[in-house]
Amino acid sequence: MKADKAIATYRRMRTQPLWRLLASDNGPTVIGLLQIHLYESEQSLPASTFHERIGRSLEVLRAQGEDFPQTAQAYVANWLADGYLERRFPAGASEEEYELSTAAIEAIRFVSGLTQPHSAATESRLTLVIEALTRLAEDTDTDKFRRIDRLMAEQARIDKEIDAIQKGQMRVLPHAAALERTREIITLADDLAGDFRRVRNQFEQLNRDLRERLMDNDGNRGEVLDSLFAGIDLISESEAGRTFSAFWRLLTDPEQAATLDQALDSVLSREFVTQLDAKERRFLLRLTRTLLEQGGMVHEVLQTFARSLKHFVQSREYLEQRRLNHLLKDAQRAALALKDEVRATETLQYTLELSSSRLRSLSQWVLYDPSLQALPGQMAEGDALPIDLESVGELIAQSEIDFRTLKANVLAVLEHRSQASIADVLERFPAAQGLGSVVGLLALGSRHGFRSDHSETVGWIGGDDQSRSARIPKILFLRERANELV
Amino acid sequence: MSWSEIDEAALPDEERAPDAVPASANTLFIGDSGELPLDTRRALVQLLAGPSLDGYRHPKLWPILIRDEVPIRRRLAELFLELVIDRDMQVAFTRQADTGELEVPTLLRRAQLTFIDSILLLHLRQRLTQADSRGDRAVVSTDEIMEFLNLYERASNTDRAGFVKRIHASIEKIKKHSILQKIRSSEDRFEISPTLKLLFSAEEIQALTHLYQRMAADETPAPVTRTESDDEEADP
Repeated sequence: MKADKAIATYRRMRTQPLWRLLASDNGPTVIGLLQIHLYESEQSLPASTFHERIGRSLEVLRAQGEDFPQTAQAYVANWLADGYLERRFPAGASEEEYELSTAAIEAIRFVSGLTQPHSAATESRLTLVIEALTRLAEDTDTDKFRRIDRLMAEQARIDKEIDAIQKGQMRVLPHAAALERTREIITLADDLAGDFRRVRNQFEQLNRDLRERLMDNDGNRGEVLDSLFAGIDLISESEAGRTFSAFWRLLTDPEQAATLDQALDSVLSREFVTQLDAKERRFLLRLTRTLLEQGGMVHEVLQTFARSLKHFVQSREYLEQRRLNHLLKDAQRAALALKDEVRATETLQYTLELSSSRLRSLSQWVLYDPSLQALPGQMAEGDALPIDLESVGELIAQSEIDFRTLKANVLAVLEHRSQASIADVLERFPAAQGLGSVVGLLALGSRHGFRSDHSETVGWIGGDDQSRSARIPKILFLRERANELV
Repeated sequence: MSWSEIDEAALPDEERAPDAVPASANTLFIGDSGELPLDTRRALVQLLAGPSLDGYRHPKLWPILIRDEVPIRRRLAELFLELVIDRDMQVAFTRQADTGELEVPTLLRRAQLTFIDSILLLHLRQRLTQADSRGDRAVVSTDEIMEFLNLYERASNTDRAGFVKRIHASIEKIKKHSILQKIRSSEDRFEISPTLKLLFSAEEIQALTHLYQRMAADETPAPVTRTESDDEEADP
């Protein structure tokens, strides 16, 4: 009964995050939200930004009559507990960050694969397989003469092709086939970028396991230690480590990188490329950068782990930690024995030395001034303060402004008129992020717009439902510079 | 960028970088008789105010501290304080100097701990060790602390709400001493300050264990009376 085994496996898998996400009642919504926020544009987001963006999406859904009674924070906490998200606190960061779990990434890939069914039996896929198989057969052949024969045949074929071209017969791949091949390449490359995540997770798991083994292993020189002292870099030498290193070498090899860049440039200059949709073109444009960025991240993780693990062992930190663990357990046991004898609030004869001092001086005493207690008089209405571009820059640096939407708004307005001020844009697309949208438009304007000597008043609805307004410099977006905003 | 092409050595002395001119006395305000430059004084005050000067939160002061470690150490010694610097963790703080037999006044604050405080401290210390051994930063949530401290609830306790309130008070106290630091944008999650490792060392943990054991054997004197060094309530 082979079915038994398969059924048991699937039962087990159904309890795991990937399948649970796919099968959950609000699966489509969750997958959609995760895909938009943590898959398509960014791979990780600081907690505050992520909460805010999810909150905004939920509001949109609620406005459409969908039932999402809880806060964004509550949903995010559930997704974290369900294993769809991961939360980490990178060194140097001021807040925790969220990213998708491997399960969620796979769910998104699986589902989006269903929506764009690309025929499995495409010609280009078959060509790839044939080419790969032929290469494999050739590269593993040990027969000298057979190899030479094949190379000669190849040479003859090339000569024939050169001849044909010189005689004016050139075979150019038809657009349809070229498009199909391009899409095949995009799928392949996209999978590759996705694999980085899994590799990084493997490294993290490995690092954790090694450290745990060091801590638990009470013998002084356990297996891990022996290998480490023997100079074997366990992480780099692991299966994941070796595979990744080989990949990274290829990607960072100057010759290979140049070949890749050149090929990409040429392909992007071909006419058929205009038939790809914007997303696909963007993917190709950014391909090298994406691979380098994501690969670089994994590379960095690998290096850090290897270094910190070595330090952990060499500095004998693990011995100290083992000792501390014992001491802490002893202390906790001793405290537990006391819990029924001692009141929780009983003051112990134990003080913790702190590292801050308290300076008190007579000079800190301030005379009582009755006038400070007087009721405030009528408040005079002041003029609105102008927002200068410098403080705007600062505001932008501190907030998460949805530039993508703002740019799209400006472009939409410029479709109907040759120039538009910020007030014009806001008239058609009210400020969704309140002051944030205004600031965002100002930032776009200062970069891509034309600044006039006038100023104008713009209005928006604040988070407290009050309408507010501000005078801002009048900046005009011009249609002839619209391409800068794409 | 024409200025970068000028050969500095060819310039007359007066036109070289201003720091080549001998610094005049660091007089910063009327009646100032101090000697240290402004930044160094800032670092010194940060160390005195405490609880720490750290490379992440004070990126401008940290390099100053490293540069002027010697004069800062000297100033602190005048106050019977010792400077502790952990370069790996990028954190520095002051500690009462070990003056042996010599009786000296103490400037640093101390926290008198209640039984529940001490248990919380042990838990945080343990979480810090765990996170350390995994190479992570240590983060705890209120819920998780609650769950752990529940173990220590008296079996006969009937006032559950009261116990929960005490734990909250304890967390607040630890927060006030900057051992727990709120993480931006999350309500009930905190980072355990790595300085706790240095404040609450192996020796301190052992001392606490001994105290518990003496208490269990009924060897401790009557409840402690509050002293000057006790920080609770005394704070404004």
